[in-house]
Amino acid sequence: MFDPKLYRKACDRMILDAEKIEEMISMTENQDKRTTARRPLRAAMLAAAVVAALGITASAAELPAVKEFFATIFVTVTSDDTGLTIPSVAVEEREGRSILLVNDEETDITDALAQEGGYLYEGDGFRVEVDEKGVAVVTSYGDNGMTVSYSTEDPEVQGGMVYKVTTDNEGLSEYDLSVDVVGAAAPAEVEGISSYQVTTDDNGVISVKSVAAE
Amino acid sequence: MTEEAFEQAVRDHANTIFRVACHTLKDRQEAEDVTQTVLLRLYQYGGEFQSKEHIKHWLLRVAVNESRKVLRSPWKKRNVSLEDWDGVTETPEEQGVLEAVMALDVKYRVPIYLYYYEDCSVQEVAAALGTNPSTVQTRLQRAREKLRNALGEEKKEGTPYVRPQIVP
Repeated sequence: MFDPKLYRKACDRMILDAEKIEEMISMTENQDKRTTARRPLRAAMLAAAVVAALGITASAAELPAVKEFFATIFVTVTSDDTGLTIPSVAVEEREGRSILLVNDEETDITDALAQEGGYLYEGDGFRVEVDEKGVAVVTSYGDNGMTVSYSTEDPEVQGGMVYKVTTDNEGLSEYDLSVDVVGAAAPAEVEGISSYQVTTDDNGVISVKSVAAE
Repeated sequence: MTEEAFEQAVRDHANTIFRVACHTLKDRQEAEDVTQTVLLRLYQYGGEFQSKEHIKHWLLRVAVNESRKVLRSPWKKRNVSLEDWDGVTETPEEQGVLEAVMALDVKYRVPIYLYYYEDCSVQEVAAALGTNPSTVQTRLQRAREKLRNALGEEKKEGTPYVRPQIVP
């Protein structure tokens, strides 16, 4: 039988040396005290080009769905075994400004896009990279080393989504991703919701199959 | 965060971070590296903590995420021997329980640690792991089943075989 008391006693002895802790304090306090949580992505791009891109996205409704740069993405993973944090991510344009929304947290990324050509948001268990066109690539890290990433820019996948899934093949083999792309022209029969079955084979090769939502 | 507050937080929570990393990575050296990384994240954190509990849960979440990053690394050592945990415990019973937990898949080990050692609620475990409370419940239940089987079988193996005798 699993005895929690015995387990706690065992864990009590899983500790760092006091000297090691003091060494860690000393090493940490010698580091530069600056935040690295959110930082611009790449070297500067021409502001004019970005402004032009934003101008295009202002009339995104006229573009084909797969070219829609500013789409709202909601993804849910319907499996108990993934342990993924899937954020709700959107890049919106408001009065000429580009606003990144991550789980309702808003960040004005206009200046970063103009000056650096991109923006990186790092959350707990996921990261969001926005390029100069406002295309958001979301990468979520699951248990067992699995990674799911998705973006709005691949024309080969319905709804303009692409998934890149990697796993170390420890236990996880199959799960479903349901995607709701607000504002994208999804196939009529699924009314804005597409579901993709993502499967890994023994060699870790990923296949993505679009399936009709129920 | 002042340097004094940082140092106090380290002394209060460094071992917690270390244990989370140990449970994820099963490697003492990598767990020490993760602990150092998490402490640096704390030192550089620009926000404010409302309470000691807030710091603890923030650190748990960051420790889980930093450990997962190492787990994903192509440099991560695979198949760490359970013998690495020899000498950590004082009695064979403690050793048996620890080895049984460490033999579980990582998705079970860490919830077990957070729930049984850190006294986190299911909701708090879910927040630390970035998953749903229902998922945590399921994993805890499955982990307990696996531990029951593993430890039960070990006990059976240790039971001496008694030859049947014909009573005259």
